[in-house]
Amino acid sequence: MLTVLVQLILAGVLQGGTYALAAFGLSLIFCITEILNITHGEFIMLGGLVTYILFAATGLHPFLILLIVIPIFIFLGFGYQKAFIKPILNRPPRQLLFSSIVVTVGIATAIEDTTSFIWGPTVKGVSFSMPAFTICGVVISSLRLSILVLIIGLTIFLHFYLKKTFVGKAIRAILQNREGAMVIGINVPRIITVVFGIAIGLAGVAGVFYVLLFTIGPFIGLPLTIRYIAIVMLGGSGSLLGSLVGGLILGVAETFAGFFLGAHWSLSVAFFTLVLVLLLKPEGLFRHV
Amino acid sequence: MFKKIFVPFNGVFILILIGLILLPRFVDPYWVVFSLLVFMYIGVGASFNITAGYLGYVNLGHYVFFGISAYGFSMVYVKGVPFLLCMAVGIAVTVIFATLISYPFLRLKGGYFALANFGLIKLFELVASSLRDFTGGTQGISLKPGYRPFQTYFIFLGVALLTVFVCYWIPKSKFGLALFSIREDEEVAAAFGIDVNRHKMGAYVLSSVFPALLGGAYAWYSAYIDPETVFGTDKALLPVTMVMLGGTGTFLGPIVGAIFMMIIEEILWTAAWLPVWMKSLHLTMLGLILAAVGIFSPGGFVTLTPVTVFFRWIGLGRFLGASHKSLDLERAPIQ
Amino acid sequence: MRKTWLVLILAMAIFWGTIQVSIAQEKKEIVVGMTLCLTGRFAVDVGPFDQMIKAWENYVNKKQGGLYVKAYNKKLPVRTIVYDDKSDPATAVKFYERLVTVDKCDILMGPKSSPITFPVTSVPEKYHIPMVVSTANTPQIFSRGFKWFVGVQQISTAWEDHYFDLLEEEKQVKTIGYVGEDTPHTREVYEGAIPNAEKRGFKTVFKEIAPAGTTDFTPILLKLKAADPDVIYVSSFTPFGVTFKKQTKEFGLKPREWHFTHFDISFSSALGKDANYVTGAHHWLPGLPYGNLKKFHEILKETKIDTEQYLDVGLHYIALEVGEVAIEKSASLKPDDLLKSLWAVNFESILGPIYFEQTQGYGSFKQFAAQYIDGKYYLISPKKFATHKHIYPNPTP
Repeated sequence: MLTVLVQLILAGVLQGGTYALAAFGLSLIFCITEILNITHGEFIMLGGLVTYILFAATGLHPFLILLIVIPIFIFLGFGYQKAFIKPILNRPPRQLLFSSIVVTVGIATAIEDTTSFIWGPTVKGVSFSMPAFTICGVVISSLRLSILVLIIGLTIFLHFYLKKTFVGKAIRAILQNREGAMVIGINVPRIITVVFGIAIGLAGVAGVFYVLLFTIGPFIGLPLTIRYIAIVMLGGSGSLLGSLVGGLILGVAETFAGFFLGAHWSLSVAFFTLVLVLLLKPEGLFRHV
Repeated sequence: MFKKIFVPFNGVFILILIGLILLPRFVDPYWVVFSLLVFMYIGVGASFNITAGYLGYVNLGHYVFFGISAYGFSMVYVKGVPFLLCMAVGIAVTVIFATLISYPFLRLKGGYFALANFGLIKLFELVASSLRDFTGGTQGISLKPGYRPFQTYFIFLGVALLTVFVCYWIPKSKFGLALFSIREDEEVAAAFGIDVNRHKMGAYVLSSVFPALLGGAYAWYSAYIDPETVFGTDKALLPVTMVMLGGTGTFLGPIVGAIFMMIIEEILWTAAWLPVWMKSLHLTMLGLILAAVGIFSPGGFVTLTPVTVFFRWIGLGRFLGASHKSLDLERAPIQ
Repeated sequence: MRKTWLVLILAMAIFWGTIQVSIAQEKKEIVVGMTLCLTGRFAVDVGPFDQMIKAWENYVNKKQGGLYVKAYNKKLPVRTIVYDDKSDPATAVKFYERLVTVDKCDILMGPKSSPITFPVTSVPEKYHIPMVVSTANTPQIFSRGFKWFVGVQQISTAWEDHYFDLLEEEKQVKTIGYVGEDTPHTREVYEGAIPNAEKRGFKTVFKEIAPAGTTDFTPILLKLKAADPDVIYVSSFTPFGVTFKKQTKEFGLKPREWHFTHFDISFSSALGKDANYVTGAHHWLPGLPYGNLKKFHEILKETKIDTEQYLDVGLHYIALEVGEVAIEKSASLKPDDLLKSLWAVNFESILGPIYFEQTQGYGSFKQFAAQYIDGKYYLISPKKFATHKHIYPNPTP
């Protein structure tokens, strides 16, 4: 029984870790600009797509492909922000919410449809696997473990980036008080562009991991965005730790529910948990950094 | 008070109304089905506008009321209960749910409120899929088959008109005034003696009634529902997008938005004069149009000058509702 | 006031413009209509079938000179119309209405998937235009007593007959563990396969349904490992199947055989070596000797559709074949004659003999069993057409 429990927790943690990454990007965007970036899921899908294309063409080890994907998506983030987000940033809060939804939904639809048109609606996967190993009867997937290690690495990197570098501190300043940050001379528009670059870059990375573990198709974007929104809500927007913990909680809740209640309850429990947390603590579990 | 309600419905409006009533006799059933879908989106969109536009609480999960009512209706209908009673059950279940959920949810603000409600849709979809014995699970519920576009047309037309009436009446009433003041600044409104919680709940529950009506009728019309159809998240965003496209907080916004999107979709897909590649990419076109409207027309379609001029010209100017522009305390702009 | 009159006149003009005046005249062409899930959640299985439909139309018109209609004693050209229903039932119903009322189709082909076919079938029933359902085979669709459509497939509970026949004959399999994806089609196949297998004496050691979006199968895999069946039978669509199979490798599950009901090139390319020796259900594969294969291949060549990539090609194609036979054997293009001819259809399509069960209207086609061996799909059951021997047990270590 103990091995089963450990196995479940481990699976949940590994599962949740993959969630955490993209969630942080989404949460950053939401906290800094109050924009609901519904297109986020599409970038994850695109990350997976680029990985698939590169892998099929060159057969490179996916973790190397990761290094190519990161800069591509950071620049994609810059471009996306400059083209579609900048024009609506200055609107009054409620108009901003409306406009952001309309614009991001529009772009998301366009991306989905174009992807389906160019690459076909079929599902794509990457046939890359790593052997698993067993310790004391508990199976550990080395692929997932490596991914988790990478994610933890990225998280630590981000943490120090936010704490130590100027840009990082500027981001935190804006999170706390936008007007105040402007007063002390921070170039807010530039920083926001950087934030988008980071967020979309993270989404791209999440996409790489996603296609390694599962499959991608042109229409997976929207359901993914919803799941990540749930994590952001759970963990508290703007908080790095929150996204991590939120993702972990969701992952573990899913595996436990799946085992004890039956597989068809696993996803429901995740959302139950979300609603519960929101009712008890509306801002989520952690406040922003 | 009567004068306030009835005077606006002038000649042009009456004409349009008569036209809509006579429509099914003169056109192909295809257009009847098309129109009833437009009415459905108007009904859902306009009621969404009550919480989003008038109250200022964007309820992204508005569509969940539609789904709950559809399921409530269907579960009772298959047991042989008469139609009207089933509708009553569907509406009752939805309203009770809305009342219960309003307590905790209305404490959330802004984006959190929007997303928490959105999460509800997904939650219901999952729950409906899991409770097989209760809801038929992913296989859904099949109701008595029948071909009913004409009756449904009139039901939906009626509900759309009802929703539109209510949405017209609210801004002219004390209730509406309270909602606007809450929207502008909740604390100040409370300081002035408005029972904020009661009004918020009232708006929320009121807005749930109309999609409830439509949900039950839709289930009856389509004779089959499953979790994905009535709780589908992509479906859920559709009426929201339409209203935002048309202009939130305005009376004509939801109507214009719904009609515009449905017609654009129709044109993009079926017009013979468009090149083939454009038809394959019709969703892309739609998405780009949406993004363009979002970027260039923040108040929505209805605030665009050509549109306002057009409406004034055909005599429907009084519906434009410029009085409902919100104050929206400006942020310091980001240069 | 003037404005009001202007609007009134405008409105009247619009109404007049939309009134359809239909004049009874001799038909100039045969119109075949349908919707396909070109976008949306079912698009992954549909692919460029609209091209195949057009290719069929070209072939029939150019190579066959059209279809023969008894009433006019000559061949009429065929015209096809395809709409995108976006994998949404309401949109599909809207377009089928249009096909019948605006486009005036003579015969309809069914849409993809059971949840969409369900509401759509009320359209032919109301308007009395016959429909051939191709890709839906949920029993409930057929048990409602509708008269105006037939389906080419056997109901989903018979999906695995050929596969279980093979297992029964080989007498090597004793236990089976089942995993099902909770979506309308895959669920029925799962629910139909279990009693089918048990009737034949195969013991069920595990069975569980999981939701379509499941990303972590640890709970199921733990229990499956303990049960250790000979065959692990997974009723799923490709995304679910691939995710599941990848995770089984990590858990070191080693049944003697894997069976995935939906497997195609997406599946095998996503899994690479891990897809080797997997068995599953397939529609058309080389090795089948039935029907007019020359025509089938010519049409496919024009569209570059790979039968290994898109399972459903065969189904859509035989629906068209059924349409052809029904039209040519019918007394006239009048709906009642067409319907009678449709129910009486009995011919050899490229997937084998097709005829319809006379009370409910489902067809006679049952999926064939196939196995993926070293990069290619081979037919393994029915044995007389098998292009490769069934490899059991799974030789990978």
